[in-house]
Amino acid sequence: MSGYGEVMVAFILFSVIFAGMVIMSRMLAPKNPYKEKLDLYECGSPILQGGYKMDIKYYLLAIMFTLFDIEILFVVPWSVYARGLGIIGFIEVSVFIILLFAGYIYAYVKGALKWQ
Amino acid sequence: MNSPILFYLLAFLLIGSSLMVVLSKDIYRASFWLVGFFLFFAGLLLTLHAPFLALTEIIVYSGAIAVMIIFAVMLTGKYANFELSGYSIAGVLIAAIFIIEIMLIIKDVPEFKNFAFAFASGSNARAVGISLFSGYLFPFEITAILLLVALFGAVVLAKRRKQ
Amino acid sequence: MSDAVIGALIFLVKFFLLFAIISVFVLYATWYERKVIGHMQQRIGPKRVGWHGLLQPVADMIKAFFKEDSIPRDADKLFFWSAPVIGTVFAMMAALAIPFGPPLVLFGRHITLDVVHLPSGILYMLAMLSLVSFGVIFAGLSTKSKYPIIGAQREVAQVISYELILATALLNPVIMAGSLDLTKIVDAQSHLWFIFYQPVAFVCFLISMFAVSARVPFDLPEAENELVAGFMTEFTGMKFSLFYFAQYVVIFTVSMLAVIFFFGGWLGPSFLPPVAWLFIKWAFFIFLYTWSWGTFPRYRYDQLMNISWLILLPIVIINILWTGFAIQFGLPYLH
Repeated sequence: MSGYGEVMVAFILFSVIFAGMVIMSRMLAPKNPYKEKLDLYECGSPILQGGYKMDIKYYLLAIMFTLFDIEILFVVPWSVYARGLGIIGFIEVSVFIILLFAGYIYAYVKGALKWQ
Repeated sequence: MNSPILFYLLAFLLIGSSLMVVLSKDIYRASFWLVGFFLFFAGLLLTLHAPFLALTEIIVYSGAIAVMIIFAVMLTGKYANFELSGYSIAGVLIAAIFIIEIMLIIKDVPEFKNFAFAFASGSNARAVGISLFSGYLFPFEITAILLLVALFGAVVLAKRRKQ
Repeated sequence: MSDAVIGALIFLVKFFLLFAIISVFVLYATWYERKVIGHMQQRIGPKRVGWHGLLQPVADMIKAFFKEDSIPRDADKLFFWSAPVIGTVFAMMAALAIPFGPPLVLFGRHITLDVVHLPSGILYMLAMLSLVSFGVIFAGLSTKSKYPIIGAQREVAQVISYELILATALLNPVIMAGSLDLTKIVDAQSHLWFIFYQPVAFVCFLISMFAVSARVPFDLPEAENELVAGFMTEFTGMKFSLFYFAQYVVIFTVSMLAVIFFFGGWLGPSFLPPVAWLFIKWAFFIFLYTWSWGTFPRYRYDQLMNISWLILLPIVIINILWTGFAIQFGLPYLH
């Protein structure tokens, strides 16, 4: 057992410890619920339905975030062996990054990143 | 832990959480189980000795795509409850076709018959880098184009929605 | 005893040692922050419980255990119970991979000073840190209450801004060290710390470091003056404390990352042991957090997104290309 096996064991241990803490405090603490206490914050103000919509632009940013995340993870295999892969590898990865950077510039020029 | 028990445990958790994704009525709960699904899937990839792929999977799928899905639901600003009953027959059919297809593919591959069911301990990022930048150079650059097209599509879509 | 049993025992000892270190840190970080912030604002800070309030965190912990655990009527029970645990567990999981010093050799055994030694340690830590935010998001969504939902939405907006910068800024030291292994990254700095090669990447990392731990210039999800307590408005007792616990663990981890990636980790003159050097440098970052808390106003979240998408992202991407170029052609690179 080494490496990720230990990670798995640690995950189970941590889950047990912290869930145990929450449950223990639930058992130790006094319980005295009544209607007003179980209401939401601010005198049980009505739950949020349909309000507080966000701009579609945030979703665009979420998509761009995903794409750039994938890009960075494609760069990682190069980065651990940048010296060994030499100039050819550097040119390849530059083409990869610059292509996506072109997309970024396109989004910028189209005004997708601007805020009114 | 060199036994298939690990595989069966992870597979059981995987199937359980993916069923919860499909069966939950509340879409936020579905996204919760989706994150769990991605985690167990990463565990399965670790037993296949692909740690780089497993970590990448967590970062991209749980860290970015699940967040994107939750964000998309938030954009509607509603607690949407979805009824999936209208699509269940089509869904089962597609799933059945998919399963048969995969079984036909893996039937003849000898590697699938003798796994070592244990967690990986090394790092294969360097090996991935070497093969990516020598053997699979063209697919690698095509991926960039693919991502670029997705980006263009997102920008065009967002711009059109606004008008 | 067989080799595997000894290995498992060593793992358990290291595991509980880390747990103890982090618990003590979290307890006394709250005391220290209240004290420092108090003096920054011409107050005294905690003083009643124990000498200069040193027992205050213990009292707080006992109080958290015995506080009534109130669950709102309309709360989603699954989210409400699991969100604090998710956040804390993954924050602790990220801390597992921190190396606290060079590998030791004890009784002929090679012992690494991290609980779990992973050759792709930084990737693992980034993955775990990205999962911490789900605790916040699900906590905000658990009750259909106003402020928590706004807090969760801000957290999502924050995640899609900083996480990219964090990963990309850390990639520069990785390129220079040629490894994802945290121990090897420290070893690669034996000539000169990476801060001198990568000042730009360090500044980008520093900014996203405050965002990843949701601390004062970027504490948007919990912005206590506008959103009450943001995502944890409806939580009480132990669950509430666990959110704070998770936040301090993230602060611990990210400060360690800053030291390991840019300030040479445990490297230093030999009159102090390596672990001492690591913690001295790390304490500077902990102070930086408190300092910024006492100094900066909060940014709006569109401002945070502007900072990361319009300024930091182009800078870090160009920085990666520059680092790759410098590695290939050896321009300012002294190694």
